[in-house]
Amino acid sequence: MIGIEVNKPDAIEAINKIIEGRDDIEVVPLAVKYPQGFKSHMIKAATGRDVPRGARSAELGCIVRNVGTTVASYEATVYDKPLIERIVTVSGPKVPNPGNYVIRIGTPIAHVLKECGIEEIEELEGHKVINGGPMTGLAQLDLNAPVVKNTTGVLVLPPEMIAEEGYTDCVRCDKCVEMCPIYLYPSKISTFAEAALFEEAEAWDIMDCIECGICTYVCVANRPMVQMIRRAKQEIQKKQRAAK
Amino acid sequence: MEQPQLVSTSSPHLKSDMKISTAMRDVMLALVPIVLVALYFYRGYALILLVACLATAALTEVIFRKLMKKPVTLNDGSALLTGLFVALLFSATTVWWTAAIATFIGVGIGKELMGGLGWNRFNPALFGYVAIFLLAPYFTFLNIDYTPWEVSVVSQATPLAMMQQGMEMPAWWELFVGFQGAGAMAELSPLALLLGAAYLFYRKHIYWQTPVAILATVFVLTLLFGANPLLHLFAGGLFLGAFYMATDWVTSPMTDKGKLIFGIGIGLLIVLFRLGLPPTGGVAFSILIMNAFVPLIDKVTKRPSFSEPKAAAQDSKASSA
Repeated sequence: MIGIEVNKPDAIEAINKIIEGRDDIEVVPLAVKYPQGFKSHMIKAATGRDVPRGARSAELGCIVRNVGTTVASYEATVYDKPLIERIVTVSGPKVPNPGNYVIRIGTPIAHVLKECGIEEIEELEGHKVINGGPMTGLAQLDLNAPVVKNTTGVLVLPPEMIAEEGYTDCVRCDKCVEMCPIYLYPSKISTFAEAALFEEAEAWDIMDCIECGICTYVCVANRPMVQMIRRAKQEIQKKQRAAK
Repeated sequence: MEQPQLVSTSSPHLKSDMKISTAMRDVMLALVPIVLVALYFYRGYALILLVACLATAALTEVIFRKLMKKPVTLNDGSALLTGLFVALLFSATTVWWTAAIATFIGVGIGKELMGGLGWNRFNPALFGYVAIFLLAPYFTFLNIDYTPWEVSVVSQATPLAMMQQGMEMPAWWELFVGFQGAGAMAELSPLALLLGAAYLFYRKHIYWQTPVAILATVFVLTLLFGANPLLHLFAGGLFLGAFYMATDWVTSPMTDKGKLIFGIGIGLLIVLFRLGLPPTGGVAFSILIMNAFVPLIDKVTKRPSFSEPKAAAQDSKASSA
């Protein structure tokens, strides 16, 4: 099964043409929403199967692969080609030549940005350069950092697009509760996490969080919920390991 | 290579534009129609009350935040909104200091002393209003009413009291569009409130579950008890309560199911007040009572997480039993 978001009808049509007459491959149109690409949601959307806590996809009869991995597996098995390059999306409102590029693993991000038209790396003062996407990517401190095998994109945000940091108490607007793809209560568990009330956070299923960041995106109080949750999850895991 | 100073804050790197201040501004915009109706009917009297409450709200917020050594958050708009709501909960003929004291109690005690915005269990505006309602019998200075010269048609009884005493009622459509003798400023025109509520739905600040549950419960129950459901819908503070007070973020349940239960509970209590008890303040009391049940409602309506499909949940229960 090939999952494609419905806002890419060209892609759906093109693939459908190629697989015409085959009954072992099927295109599954997916709703355009974040985080559609997470494994458990792909399985649920494509097969309707529930994904219980801790279950591995293979146990459910599924293997979920993104396009890049699928192509790399093909090249590795058919052409004996090792994983030396990958397709990286370079974007940002001020990048002169954004696009999808085949980039060798190990290429410094500074070099990638230069190739995409950013003449002087020094001009990026006060910008944010992200290894990955806008929701879960990692902001870089040093542009000598290389493209690695799981670098999906390089995103350059100008200062005016960098989200503000200050936050206030939760006002229970419930937008995160409405949006959470795991049906958690991010407002509640992040408040527990902030207060280091780990047992309460666990009782409200904090460990199921996939850290997609959507709660933090919608938060009207600008609370860094996913950071609070991430930190609490690490503490809980530490305790669990100590207990073993 | 010379490195530029980059910003390296944590993900997500983009955030929605919708902030607390935007939402509060939208609710104030939604209240513009009813404020205009109040000014049309009561002119200067309405204006004095509105100004008194807004000013008191701002002052109270600043004083309490300073005393508690917390940053002043006046620009999030929540205190001003509470002030505006308190003003609308009173009749325009109320003396200004009564409404101002209600605002002070609502913002100062109902919100700030309860921990500030987000931690208050009870709707601050209703908290202030009900405090005055309960205190007024003991303090005569709270009970002064103006008798505006422009207003000759205002009778002493509000439509709700008239209804309970079996007096002849204005037509339901008159109550719906705008009725000068309605009582509180917010009760003058359900139509104006509905316009604002439509905007709040459009902006996704309020969800349909609570208001629909309240209105449907009141409609069905009053019909069953042989009262005129339309008069009950459009008289009194039902519309303000259902669309603006019970939908308050902080003091309502988190999930859709919880919001439905919350709304039905409020509807039941309102009908109880209207048919069996003195009806004035019934909507306010009903919402405040249900506010107290919100933590319980949240607990019993907890939805299973995505990783906890129903079968798995039952398995774990069975094995732990």
